[in-house]
Amino acid sequence: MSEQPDDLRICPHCGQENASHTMRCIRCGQELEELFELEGFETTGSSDGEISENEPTPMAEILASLDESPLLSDADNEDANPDVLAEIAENQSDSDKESQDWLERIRQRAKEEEDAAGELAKGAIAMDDRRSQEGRKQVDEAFDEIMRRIREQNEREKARRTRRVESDLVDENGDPEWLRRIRELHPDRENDSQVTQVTSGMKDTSDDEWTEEELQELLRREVGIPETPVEEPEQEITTEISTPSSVEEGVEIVSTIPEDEGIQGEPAQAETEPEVIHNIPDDEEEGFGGGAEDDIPSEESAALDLIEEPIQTEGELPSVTDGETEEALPEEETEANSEEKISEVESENLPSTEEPISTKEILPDLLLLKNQRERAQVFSEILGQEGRRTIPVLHESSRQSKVGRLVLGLLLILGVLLAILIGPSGTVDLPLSAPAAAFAKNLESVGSGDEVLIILDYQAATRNDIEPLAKRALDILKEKASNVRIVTSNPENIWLAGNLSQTGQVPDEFIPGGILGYLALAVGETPSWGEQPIDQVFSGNPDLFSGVDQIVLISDSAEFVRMWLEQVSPWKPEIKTSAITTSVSAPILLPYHDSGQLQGIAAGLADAKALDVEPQNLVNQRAFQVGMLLMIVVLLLGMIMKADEDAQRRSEERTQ
Amino acid sequence: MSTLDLLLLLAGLVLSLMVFSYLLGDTLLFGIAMYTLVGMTAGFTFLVLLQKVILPMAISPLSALPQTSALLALVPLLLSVLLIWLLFRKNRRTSGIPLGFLGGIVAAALIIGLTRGTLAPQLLSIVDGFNPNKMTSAGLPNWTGIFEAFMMLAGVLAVLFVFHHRRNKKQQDTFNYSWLDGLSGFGQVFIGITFGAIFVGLFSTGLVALIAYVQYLVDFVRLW
Amino acid sequence: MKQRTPVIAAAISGLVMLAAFFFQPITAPYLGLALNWAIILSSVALLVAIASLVVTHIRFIAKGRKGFLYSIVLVVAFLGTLVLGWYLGLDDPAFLKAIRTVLIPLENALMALVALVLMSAAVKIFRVRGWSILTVSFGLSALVFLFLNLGFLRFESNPGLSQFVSTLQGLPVVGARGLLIGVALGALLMALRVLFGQEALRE
Repeated sequence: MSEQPDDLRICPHCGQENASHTMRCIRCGQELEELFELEGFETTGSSDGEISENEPTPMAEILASLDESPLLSDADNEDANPDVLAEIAENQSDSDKESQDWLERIRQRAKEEEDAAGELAKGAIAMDDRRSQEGRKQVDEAFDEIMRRIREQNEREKARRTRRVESDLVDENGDPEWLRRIRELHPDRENDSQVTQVTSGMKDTSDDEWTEEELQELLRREVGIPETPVEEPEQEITTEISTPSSVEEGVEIVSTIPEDEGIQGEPAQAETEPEVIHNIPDDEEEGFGGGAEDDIPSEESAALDLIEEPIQTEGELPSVTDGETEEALPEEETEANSEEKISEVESENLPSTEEPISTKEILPDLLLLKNQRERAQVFSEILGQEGRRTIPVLHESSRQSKVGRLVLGLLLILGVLLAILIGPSGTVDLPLSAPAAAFAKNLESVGSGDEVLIILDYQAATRNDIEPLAKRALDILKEKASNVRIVTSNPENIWLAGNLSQTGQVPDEFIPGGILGYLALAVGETPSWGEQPIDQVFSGNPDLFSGVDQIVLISDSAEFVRMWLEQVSPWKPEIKTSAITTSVSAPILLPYHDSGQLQGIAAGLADAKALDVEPQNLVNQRAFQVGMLLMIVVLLLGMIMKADEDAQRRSEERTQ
Repeated sequence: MSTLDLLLLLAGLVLSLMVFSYLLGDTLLFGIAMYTLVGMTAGFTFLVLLQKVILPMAISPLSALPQTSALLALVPLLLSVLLIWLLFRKNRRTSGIPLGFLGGIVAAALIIGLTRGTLAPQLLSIVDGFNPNKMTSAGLPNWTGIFEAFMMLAGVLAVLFVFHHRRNKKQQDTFNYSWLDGLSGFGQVFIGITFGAIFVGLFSTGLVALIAYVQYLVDFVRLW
Repeated sequence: MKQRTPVIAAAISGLVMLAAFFFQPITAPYLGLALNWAIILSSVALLVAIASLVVTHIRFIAKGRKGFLYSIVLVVAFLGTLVLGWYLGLDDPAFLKAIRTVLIPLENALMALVALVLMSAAVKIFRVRGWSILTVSFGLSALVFLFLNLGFLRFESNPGLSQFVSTLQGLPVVGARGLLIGVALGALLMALRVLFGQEALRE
């Protein structure tokens, strides 16, 4: 990166400081044709946007001269040239004078050389031949239009992009975002060596050269300290597209950011530039190399020719951003696009030519820091979400779905109602499952006087599935004259257990803590220092498992039974355990029966036969059959509808 | 039936009918019924915990101060205070101590219980299927038992593989072994069978509840 | 940083408990004591959760938040049950009967709603999930078990059929066992992570 500071141009109309290569003032939008004067080269002679046909020629020459300028070569080349190094060293100390000296040398060299433009000039001349003043005016109009579109697009892009900032932190050349923006604003601050910088490696090097003092100085310049504008348009337009190319191929580079100037507000401003440029559609202007350090590859010289004409004729120098170098604009980009991009690079704050914006309006935005912009963006996104649902509704059903659910529900209710009202209850000969048979067998094995512990843990919702079986099991145990103790750890069973006994008694004990309470009773012992706290809860014997021969778990939750078998049963392996549960829990508990941990499982209405439950204690079994039949029909209907949909889709695909 | 009983009966009936308004959508009536259920359940649970757990286990032992059992009862009391403090100050570091203590105990109990209560017995059950006594019957091969043993082993491995394969497949889109897909499909068959059985069981339980409720309504109407 | 305290507490208590479980015959009293403390803490945690629920809804009422009508219903039901139960006593038959009379139909209706919702879900399941091994096996399995629950088959006169049905009823064991082992392994790993401080406990 060049070590020479960029020179700012002061707009003769409003006094705003602009980059040296800027074509239009970033505040008032007026053309800065005076800035685009190169000593020794023909000037445009127009101050109001008129495009001179002669502009491309000196521009072409300049570009051509820059091609061969040793200052535009890469670092290696620069290092090989002691003169250039000396120049760089000098420039670093005195920005203005040195940059002029550099330009002076270039001009002299350009004068000396014949046909320095080479292909560039030929292309420019050819383009110039094609141009007319009217075309330029159209270009101006198109330029303004595109500028407006670019600004809008930029706003949308910012709204969408949330993370782009991070990715923009380092562009493809390795330059950080803030540096690129600084360079955009102050391309003329960079000296020749900056102009030559192109490659990412160089950019990395240049990044390192930005010191705090330089940034501070740059900030001071931007804030309002008037500086002598650099008269010479030392930097011409460069293509922002410039892919990292060798320095020596740089046609022309516009220094954007003075590396020796510190700036803090600039990054924010500079940030805007590449964003804007990135938004430029492909068919629009081509961008100009951001940094003066950008070198234009030879293949882009034609693009530069396209670019330089309108720029020169308009007397404007676009500010070039580093970010623009990321985008390789196609050579076929129109001239207008290139102009657009150049101007756009300056900032989105670029006012329209008809509406000059005051410094106060521009400067705060220009000085907006990157993190401030991020926060503002997030805030605007949040505001934009007002009134909109941001969290997707999980179960947003359509009207048709609701009607379907209602119809099916009513159908089932109607079927059940009719089955209850019409005809007898009937009996259902359901297959007897092996676990249910084992449960019955285990219950039969209970002898007189055996201690049986009943653990309750079910809810009112499943009482119809469990209580018939539980009542029958309690009756069997009572008939066998076994000692039954009913406990629960579920508060709901305190008021629900009354259904199990005719007297409506509550469970004998309430065990606190759920499965932890049972575990504490299973593993714990009475300590020597006194009682355990849980002993205070018991009204009877706190030793729950002492002398127990059988445990019957009455639970509607497979999870509770599983936890019991994991936590309690291993500590009391001698106690046989069986379970009364619901139909939904049975499949999950089957492996425990298969492994021998559960002696038997009686689940729901289907296993009522195993315990010889009276039919009048069960729900209407005819209605049960009707319900099952309806579900079979609905399931088949779902399959058929799906198959039909698939067939229709396939036939439509075939016809298409 | 007393007036109070009748009122309570009507209240229960009305609330239960409000539940069925869900068929029309998430209505106000359904919400009222749900919140009534939640409120009553929470109130009863609160009462039970207070009277049956906190008072006898945490407060009553303090009456025996300065005995050892009473001093030891101060520990859960202090931890409980820290826990209650969490209700007011969420970011207190000390409030994490009771939760951490509880979590550690539960984790330890889980480790012991899972290994002894599920993993070991279930794995041993699979291995036990290959018991020569079960695979032969009167000196002849018991093909049914052999088939069941191999089917159990292959099925369990396939089911375990389903989740592993799905996760791997998501991570590596281009990674595709046909035989692994086949094994995964085999496991999915068994998972589908189990889910089908659970689905029928759930519908059966719900249907029984529906029949009981409709019967309850019919009885109420007949009584009325 | 702020998660370190509970993590350390969990790790220490868990490792100590694990050792106590291994030496249970010796450490039984201390094991019981620690579990009692855990019971008290878990009950207090549940109390705090319920209190937090009620306080939140009271705030909703005070602020007039949308849907505060539901909050009023909840708070009234909560306070009514609490006051009545405290006044009459938990073992009072009238109180328990009142609770039964209101809550049993309510919960019954909820469970009945499950059956109705499952009907509509059965129609949509294939349209939503499409045809796959899982859905086809699920559908066929459901149809088979639904048909078995119809009770149209007579098993007493046909032992072979009974055996066949018994085999069908034992098929879910394979899938359930695989699921149980998988869940157990996952839970075991999670518990080990807690013990070794890998899992931050959220306050």
